[in-house]
Amino acid sequence: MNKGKITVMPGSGAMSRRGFMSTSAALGLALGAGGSLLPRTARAQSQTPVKGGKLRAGILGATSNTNDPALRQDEFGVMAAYTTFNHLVELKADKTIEPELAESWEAKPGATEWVFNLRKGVEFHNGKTLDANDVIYSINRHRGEASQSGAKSLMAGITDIKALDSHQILITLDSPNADLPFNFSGDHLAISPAEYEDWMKPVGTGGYVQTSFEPGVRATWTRNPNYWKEGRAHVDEVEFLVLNDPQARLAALQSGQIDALGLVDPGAVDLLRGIPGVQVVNSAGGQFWSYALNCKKGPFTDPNLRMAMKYGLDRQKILDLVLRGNGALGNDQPLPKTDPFFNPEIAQRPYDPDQALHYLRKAGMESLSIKLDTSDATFANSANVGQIYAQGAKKGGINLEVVRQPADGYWDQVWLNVDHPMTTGVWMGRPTADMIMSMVYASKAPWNEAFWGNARFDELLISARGELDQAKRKAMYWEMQSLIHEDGGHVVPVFADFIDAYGPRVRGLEPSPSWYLMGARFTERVWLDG
Amino acid sequence: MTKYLLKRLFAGVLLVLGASAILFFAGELLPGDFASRMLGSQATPEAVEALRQSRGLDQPALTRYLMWLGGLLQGDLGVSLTNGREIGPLIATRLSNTLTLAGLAALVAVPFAVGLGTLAAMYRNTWFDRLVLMLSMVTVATPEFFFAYLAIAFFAVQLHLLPSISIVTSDMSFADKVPLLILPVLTLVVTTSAHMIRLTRASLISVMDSEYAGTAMLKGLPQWKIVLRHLLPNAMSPIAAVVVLNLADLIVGLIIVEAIFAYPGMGQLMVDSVSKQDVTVVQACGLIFAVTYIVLNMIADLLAILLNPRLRYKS
Repeated sequence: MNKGKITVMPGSGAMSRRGFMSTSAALGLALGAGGSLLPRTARAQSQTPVKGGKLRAGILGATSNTNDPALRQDEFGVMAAYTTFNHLVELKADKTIEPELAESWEAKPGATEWVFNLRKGVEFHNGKTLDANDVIYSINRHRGEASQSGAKSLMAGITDIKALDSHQILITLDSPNADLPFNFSGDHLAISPAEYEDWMKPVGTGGYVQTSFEPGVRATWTRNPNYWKEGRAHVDEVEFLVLNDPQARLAALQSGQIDALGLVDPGAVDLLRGIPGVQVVNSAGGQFWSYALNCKKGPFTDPNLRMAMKYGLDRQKILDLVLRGNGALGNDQPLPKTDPFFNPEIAQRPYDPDQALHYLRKAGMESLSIKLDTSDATFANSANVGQIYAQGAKKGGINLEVVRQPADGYWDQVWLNVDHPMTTGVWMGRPTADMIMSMVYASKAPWNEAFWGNARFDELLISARGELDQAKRKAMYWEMQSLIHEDGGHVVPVFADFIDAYGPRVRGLEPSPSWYLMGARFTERVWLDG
Repeated sequence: MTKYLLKRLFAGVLLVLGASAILFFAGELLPGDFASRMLGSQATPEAVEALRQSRGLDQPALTRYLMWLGGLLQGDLGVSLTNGREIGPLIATRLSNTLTLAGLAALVAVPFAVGLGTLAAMYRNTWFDRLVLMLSMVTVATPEFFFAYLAIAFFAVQLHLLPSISIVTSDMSFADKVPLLILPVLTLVVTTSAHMIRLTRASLISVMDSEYAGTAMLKGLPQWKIVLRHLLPNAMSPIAAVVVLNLADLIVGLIIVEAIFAYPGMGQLMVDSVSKQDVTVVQACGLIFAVTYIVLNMIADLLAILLNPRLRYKS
């Protein structure tokens, strides 16, 4: 994932159905203007959807944006993907998947061969009927040496795709993967007609037909009159306005020029909640901040010093002061509480300077001085968060020197640079435990920011990926979380909620653990009142 | 006169050339790289290299600079690094939007500022004069972005009178655009007028004390006539210079105003491209801004000559 906002992929994090029910009262839907609006909105939420109106959203974007599923980037690329296109599968709020353009799927024993049955009678915006060739073309665009697609690594395990008949495809993998269908829920895996390449006028099967596209300025859609999905795509028109200035974004919502705004800064939430009519939606998900301790070079090759760093962090303070409660405590491993494979037996690591000192002494040291690289390229206020870490760690004998690196070049030159002992990162979370662990924690992972290597972990990761027996998989993922928690090179301060804000007319809102604006599917799920 | 003109023109060309070199090589020095930023998860060394090659970045910097200059002479601004599209057409719409905004702001700001400065000079040392001086002091010290946010908070958020976002599109008529343009124009007028007001006032006052002004007054001419027919033409030279220089400032100040109001002009395009490290677009925008600045400066010099007989006949 990360590297700025480039390859944000919805379909991550977690929130089980039960988790959703019990937490929605607390952090699900917080409404502006105090109690008076609550009953009205609550009633409206239960109403049946109405058709019509124009939904306007403020979206982060740039002149470099494109509708090409392989090269799309920024919030604009992701939100537009789920507005114009459909995917083979749809990620649900409980972290399971349901059919979208694929009606059903099945793994052959061993999980290296998968058969997908495609939905029949689905029409593209240009009138073409969906068949196996379209799906094969859409997947193949991310494969091969020459591919520059953001989903290239995700598709790298595929060795062959072929059509069994007009609506059935067979996918062959180089190694077993029990989670393969999840890979097809991401924004890059949008399905377009075979050989289609005119990305200024994209054609999909989604709920809306794009009618105009000015990169870096705005895009508009009208409802797809032939949309196959029942009970979705309620508004007549959708408009994305590219708004990048943080104050201008909030002002546009306040002045009623837009109806929806994602990526709300936690610092602005209290302000927004005080504005009559504004609806703030918090979604607990898999987005977490990380401090990577370099396990290959420098002091953190000693596991005792890694432990000292983990005990020297006051997580609660960061949750209270910086996130203002809009999140959850991290526990030095990547899975959020709501992930199906989350291991609840690992106790929450407390802030304990005495323990930090204890591990420092165990490593034969009385004090430790270390440079912590932070940058605005990671998350807002990362330098201030680093200072909070430094303040608390001092009591444990650790002197953190917080370095604020420029956002330009941070991902290229500082992060993942083996000469830096400690760097700051941010991860959006992924639909499956396997994805985030393969990307960041495996010893050969492309973004192994802590340079951590653990043979037992690597072995478990491969076995768990191919295991179709859920109970066995669970045991493996539990052990892997323990390994990361105890030995790993990551300090995880907090999980940060995805925070969205909507204008007074928007209905049908619900939290989604996968990403901002209902996992990027807000355009086809919400409707407008009056 | 002609000799002076030619000298000035030659200096202008040299300045543009210098600006292009600074822009180009400053772009080279930027940390990070568009390719690794764009490829993100796929930023393997080979992929980055392939993308850099496809944009011609494997050539040495000097070669690329000369090729860029050569293209510029033929009116070719090159291609964007990130999306590979031609920069020329991309900038064309953005430039016309920017000129619309800047033109409207100038159309309001210049008469407003010169008028207010003249009135302040005529009623020198009255409460009106002091008020104008104080307000111009305040606005000169107020950065554009601050005033823009104030205007948004008041007119858009509080009163719901005007939109806070000024996204204009090509299918809009001018009448559709007007409400969207009011707040950006207001911001620009307020923040560029102050200098012009103060200088108009000061220049007028300096000629007011001259003997011919006294003679005109003794002849019994009304004050407005003295100001309009005798004083303003003589004070025009410094005023014209400061007006033109402020127009140059106005165009550069647009970058911030456009970014805040999401107005799709050159400034916003430039900010956008900086964040994506799309260096070729940044260079093209920067060069257009530099040329505008240099040309307006030349015009200011020429106006100073044309309006001042002593300079006009000297050569």
